[in-house]
Amino acid sequence: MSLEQLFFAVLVANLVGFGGLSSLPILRNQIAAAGMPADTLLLHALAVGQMSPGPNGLYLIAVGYFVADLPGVAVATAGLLIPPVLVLLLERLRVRLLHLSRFRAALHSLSLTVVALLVNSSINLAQHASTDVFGGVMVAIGAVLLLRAAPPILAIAFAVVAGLLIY
Amino acid sequence: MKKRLFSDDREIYRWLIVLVEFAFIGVTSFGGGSATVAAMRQLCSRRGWLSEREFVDTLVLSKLTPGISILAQALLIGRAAGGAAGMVAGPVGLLVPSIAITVLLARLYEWVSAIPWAAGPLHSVTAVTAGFAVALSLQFMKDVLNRSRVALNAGIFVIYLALSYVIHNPLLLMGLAIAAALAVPSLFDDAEAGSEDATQDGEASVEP
Repeated sequence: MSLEQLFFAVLVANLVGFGGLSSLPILRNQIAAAGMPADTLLLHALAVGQMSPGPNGLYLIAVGYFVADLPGVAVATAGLLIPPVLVLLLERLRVRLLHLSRFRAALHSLSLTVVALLVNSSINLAQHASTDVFGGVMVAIGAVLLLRAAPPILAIAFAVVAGLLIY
Repeated sequence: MKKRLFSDDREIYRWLIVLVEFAFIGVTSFGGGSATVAAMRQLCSRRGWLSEREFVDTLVLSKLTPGISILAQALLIGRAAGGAAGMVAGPVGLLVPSIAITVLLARLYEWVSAIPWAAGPLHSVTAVTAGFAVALSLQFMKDVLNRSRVALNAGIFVIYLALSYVIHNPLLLMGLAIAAALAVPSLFDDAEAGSEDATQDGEASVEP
């Protein structure tokens, strides 16, 4: 995957996503199209992203690092910074746009699609990680811990200890 | 009335304060987006940069913006606190330490991956991370379905989910979703259907 491809993949994934992991489906598609092992790479990047401070969307920085080292980080950062600037445009247009039924409808329809795509990608990631019974159990534990608002860093520490004990 | 950050002769340094404050959030806000938003809210309140109402306004706008909404919100808060320079200092302050820590962790992760006995723990970590992705999807799902006309929204969601297994290009599916909304807005817009909890005064309903 070239730096240009990485930049556009991160940029497009961010432009059509609305934060968090919503950029994941587009990115997965673009990484796979570049012939890279998308699920493995994304799982490693998500693991790093969950250990880091700041928004969940920063897993994209880890994607940049794993694809192209520090130049990849720079390119991913550029792709991350551009879409939020659109808030200045939205600030000017918001009252006018939010009174338009079609705009509100398009936003809601888009959010339903993004979440549907995210569910699809998450199921794929869970299948990819569940190579054995232990993997499947840890996927379930990870989901339950996050839903119970456990700090991600503690869940990851638990996973490390469990992995050391089982293997 | 907003509290003055500095006397007029030191206003030039406002952006520096914005940079430092956001950098501190960038270093300490473990726990994802909600932890970062909570820290930014405390910061605005402590420094008197934004009123509660103004903070919610920035939150609503940033939620509508593509990309990482927290960066958009940091941009708006930075501008309110330190003008054009503050607008740059907010997102940069938030990102730089987080990126530095992410890169260090990625390097550490790469190094650990090469150790033979680390295969088990890493398998365990990636599995837990996949579980996080599933949980976050469920939380997102709850957010988008938790409004009026739940059955209709759930039905449309299921159709989109089924389509995602047939149409493998996410951008194409999103294009179809926008086209469907533009063709039949009443299916997707609660306000047009007469809902009470839909946007009535020109603002999206977002919990602070």
